[in-house]
Amino acid sequence: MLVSRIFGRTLFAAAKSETYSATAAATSVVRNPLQDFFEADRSVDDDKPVVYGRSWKAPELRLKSWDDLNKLWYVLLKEKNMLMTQRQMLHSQNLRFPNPERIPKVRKSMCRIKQVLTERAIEEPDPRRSAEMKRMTNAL
Amino acid sequence: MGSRLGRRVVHFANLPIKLLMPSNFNNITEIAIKTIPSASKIEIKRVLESLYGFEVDKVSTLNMEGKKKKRGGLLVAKPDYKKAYITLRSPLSISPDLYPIRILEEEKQRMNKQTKSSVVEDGEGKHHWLVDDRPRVAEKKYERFGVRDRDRRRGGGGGGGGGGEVAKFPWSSMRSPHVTSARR
Repeated sequence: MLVSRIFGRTLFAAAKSETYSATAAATSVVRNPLQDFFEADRSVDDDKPVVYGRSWKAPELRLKSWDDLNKLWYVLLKEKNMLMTQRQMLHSQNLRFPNPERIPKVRKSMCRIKQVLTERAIEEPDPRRSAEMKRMTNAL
Repeated sequence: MGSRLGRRVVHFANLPIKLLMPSNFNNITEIAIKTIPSASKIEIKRVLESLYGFEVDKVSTLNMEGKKKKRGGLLVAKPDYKKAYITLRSPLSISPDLYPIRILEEEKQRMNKQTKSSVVEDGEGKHHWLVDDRPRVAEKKYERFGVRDRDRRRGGGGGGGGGGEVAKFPWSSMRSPHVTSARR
């Protein structure tokens, strides 16, 4: 699934979701999948402090459709994996991992996604409800 | 009933995957990752293929315990993890300019330089006791003597080699113990 590089950081901007689904198409060269474990445009030396956004909030997520939330989930998952890879690599050489508060932000955003979806699933009349909730708690 | 679930579609996969540092940067055919111990090989393969786009050939896994340390009476343990070695179908390469790699490389270089001991004996480099690759001075002359004079040649070669170079230390002409074992 092609994830646009705009969402490399967990930024919130109102218009982002529309542009996201639009640009998910074929502007990609053959990308090395290993690059997804490393942070995009970040230079080697400590030039300037890294700008990262805040986490997603529940009212913002309630506006999104199921597909959008699905895609956002995977964006956040890749971001979390990238941050955890970075942290593990830096700790293995006893260096400091800068800005460790990004990981809980991503994790809590993912939690809120599931919470919003569960709320929607509870509202459903009978047969849908169990199926939807099962699909979500299906993960692993 | 609920097991009309031949439904093997997972909608919200949640597999934490930490990539370990690859050994070299060009022609990577195997990568190593760390995951949670309850991840199965098939799951890892599916997630990597669908989410990241790796072409996975083989996955082999092993479970590892986290490091435990006892501090006073308390046991401090890091979480257990699963290591997976993933063979790719075609080699990949990665540029070391991505974020943390360059710093890690430099750090490793510095650590390697520091652990090299500053006390270096004469004629010492990286020598293994089974491999006798000391510089032989004027070896051709001794070939005529045959096998019998082997230890003499060794002794002569050792003394000649040590005296030929500029002796760094006053004890350079002393033979190190592993040479004398040839006598037996």
